[in-house]
Amino acid sequence: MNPSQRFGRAAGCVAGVVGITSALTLLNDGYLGAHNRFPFFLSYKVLSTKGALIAIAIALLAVVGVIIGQRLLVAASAVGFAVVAAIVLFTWRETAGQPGSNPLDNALGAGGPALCMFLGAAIGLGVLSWADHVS
Amino acid sequence: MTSESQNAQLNAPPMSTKLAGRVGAIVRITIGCLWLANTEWKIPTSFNALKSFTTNGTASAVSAFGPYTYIVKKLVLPNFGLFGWLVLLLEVSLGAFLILGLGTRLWALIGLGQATAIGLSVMFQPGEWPWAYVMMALCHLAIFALAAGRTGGLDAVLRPLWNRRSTKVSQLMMRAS
Repeated sequence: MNPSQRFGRAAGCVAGVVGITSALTLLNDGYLGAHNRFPFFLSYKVLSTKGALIAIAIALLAVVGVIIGQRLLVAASAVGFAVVAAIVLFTWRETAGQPGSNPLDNALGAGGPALCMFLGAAIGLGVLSWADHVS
Repeated sequence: MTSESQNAQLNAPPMSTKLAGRVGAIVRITIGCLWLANTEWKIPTSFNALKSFTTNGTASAVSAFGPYTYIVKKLVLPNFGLFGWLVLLLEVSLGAFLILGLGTRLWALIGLGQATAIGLSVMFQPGEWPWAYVMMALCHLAIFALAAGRTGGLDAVLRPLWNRRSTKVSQLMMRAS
């Protein structure tokens, strides 16, 4: 395994662990961080419980793929994250953002930051599995 | 040793290339987190908060640059539904690509443009500190100058691959990273 591949696998593992840990901390529909303590600048509502469970399942696919060396599982996880990002985008309801309404009124209870993480995971895992394939 | 080479040695940047790369990676990831965290309040489909900031920025007392304000009034505000989605998608992408370090130099330039647009909209609104927006723009310039995806980013993994391939996409990505 060359240094690029080692880096790719390590980055995949780290991303998976971070994703799962973040999602697990949010199973109570809480906030990541808090406004009055570090990392306050990253304080936001990430996902509903259902959304967090789905994110965990998809992230686990990538972690297992990295551990057993199955590139296809990592690629499948990338596709999964792309699909959930699309679901979030297309299920935002008209009421979201209106005063008094649930601002995260979409299928996974995701806000912009979760959408950003889904997009990053989809692109990152997809690109790493492609790089592993062509190298 | 000639005096010219002595001067070049004396005036060389104090940071090693490795340290500059690491500092660049920290700046890149932090700025990526800035974009990520600030997508929280840009909520589809009404984008009320974003619309409020944009509308307030067109008042003559806080307008930073007349032609920009004119474009916002005539083009952006009448089509705010589309504009809101564009801002959300752009900032979500900025967060994702800067954190990943993929196509970093290109996304740093896009971020520079977006930071400038935000600054022109809000820098003179009550309670704002105008220099914050100058710093925000300059951080993106630093990310561009340091090619900050080449340390701890996907650019570092992919550049050797792009370099070996002669496709147009590979050549474009070499330039974008």
